[in-house]
Amino acid sequence: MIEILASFPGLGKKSSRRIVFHLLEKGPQTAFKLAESLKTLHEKTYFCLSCGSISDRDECHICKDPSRDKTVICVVENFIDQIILESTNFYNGLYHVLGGALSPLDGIGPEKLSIGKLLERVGSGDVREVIIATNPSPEGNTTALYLADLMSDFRVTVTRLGRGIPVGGDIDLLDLETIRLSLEGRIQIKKQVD
Amino acid sequence: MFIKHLHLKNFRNYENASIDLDRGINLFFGENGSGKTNLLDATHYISYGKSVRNSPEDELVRFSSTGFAVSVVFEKKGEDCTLSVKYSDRKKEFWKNEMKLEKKSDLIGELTVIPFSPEDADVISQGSAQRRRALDILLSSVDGEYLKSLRWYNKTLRQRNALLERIRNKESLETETVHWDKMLSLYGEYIVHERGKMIEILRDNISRLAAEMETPFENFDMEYRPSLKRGEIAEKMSANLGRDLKSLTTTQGPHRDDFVFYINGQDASKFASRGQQRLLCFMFRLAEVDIYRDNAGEYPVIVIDEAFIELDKSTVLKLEDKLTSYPQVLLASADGNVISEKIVSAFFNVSGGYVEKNKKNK
Repeated sequence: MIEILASFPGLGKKSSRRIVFHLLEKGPQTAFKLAESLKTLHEKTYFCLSCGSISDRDECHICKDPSRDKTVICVVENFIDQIILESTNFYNGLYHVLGGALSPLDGIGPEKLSIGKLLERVGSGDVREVIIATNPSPEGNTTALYLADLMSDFRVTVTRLGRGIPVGGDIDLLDLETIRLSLEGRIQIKKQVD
Repeated sequence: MFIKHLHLKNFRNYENASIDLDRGINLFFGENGSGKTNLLDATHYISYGKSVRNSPEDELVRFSSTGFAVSVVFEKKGEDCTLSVKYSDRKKEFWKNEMKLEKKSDLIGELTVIPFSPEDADVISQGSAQRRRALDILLSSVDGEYLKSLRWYNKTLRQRNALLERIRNKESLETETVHWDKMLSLYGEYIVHERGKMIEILRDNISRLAAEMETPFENFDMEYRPSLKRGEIAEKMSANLGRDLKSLTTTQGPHRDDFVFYINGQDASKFASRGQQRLLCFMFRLAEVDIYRDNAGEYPVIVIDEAFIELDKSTVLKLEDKLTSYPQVLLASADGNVISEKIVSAFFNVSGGYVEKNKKNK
């Protein structure tokens, strides 16, 4: 069991051992609860038929929410990225979960990503803007480029997440690339400095 | 900058060594295996967080010990600074002026030592991979964006090569290469641009040094030979697809770049003598030192391990003059008379893990 746990992301041998000993110490009750939830994990979890995000029914709470702006779609690599963007409470549009980024080394081509579904959504007419929020890595950038090319067939604005100085960050601690990008993407001061 | 004090504990063959260094030329001499190279390696470790040959830490620990410590006091822009590293229980810690540094990368750039070694001559005599490596190390240390572009270029290249294999196995379509090619050219264009600029600077620096030192090179020149020229990377990469699919590798691009040294209009790798090649490499390294100086506003510490091999006496005399012009040079040799006694600031007799400092050569 330690070995199985240690193969999970974010867990090593030591923390896996701690989890197993914790379960042993807590007695059978805790272990049963965990086992029950694991058993139904796949049965009770659905992927939203529209955006591909994890949901407890066929359509997720974001896609179903009438107050969300349905003209903007933010494309993310995976579910975790969506949660993080959502936790800002700033973005009010919809999402689209690709399920990864292009990476031939890992055997991931466009057919492995939820791209057809994205094009279907963009082509349906209401969408004005597609924000591509893939990671700023060689794979994420290539995926962004690939998607932007596909989008050029539609009448939508394609944007990429801005890159710049983190809030609370000191300029003298940043890497030069980030500073350069934030200079490129600088904005005019209007009412507030922030 | 210059190192004032170096302290080693259980590092390689040193149990406990405390060494006061002088400005100018510090000569370490002793028999082979006495520990000269280990001493120089300690300065490399404290500058870059790794040994010259990138040996694992456990190999740096003195026999029968469980860890090592190296610390150094050096003057940088008129101020004293202390760096230390402790390795024990397979963990390393870096400290600057009693403050713990969080990452190894916080250490890099504090103290800069430039190691010269007999292997430097590989830049001329060996293949293009050695030349690209030398150029990439130099560019990466003065330009963070270059380092990132290079890493990302290499990653993208691996992706493209994996894609070629998938296309041959009919798992992917040829059209999928388009976007990888675009990304490769995005990073590649920057790499080629910066390499071209750097070769120009190196050529100017070497020419200036050659004139200054009156070296017998006539018509020295350096030429950058990019595999693909600037502005044509994307286009040529796509055009190469058929050929690349046959060989299952990306046949052209910045990963195949090269540069050539010329003396008297002839390729130095083919026509220069071994001695000329050595001297040329020495000048190449000194040209690098000037680039570090221009970048940091101060000369780095020059660390030379037996790099005078195969140079004739008159050439060594010319180099001596030049070496006295740097703030600090650490020089190791099995021969205590490798350079003229009068230009040496401090002699260090190294034997069996002990270092004895003398003002005179004994």
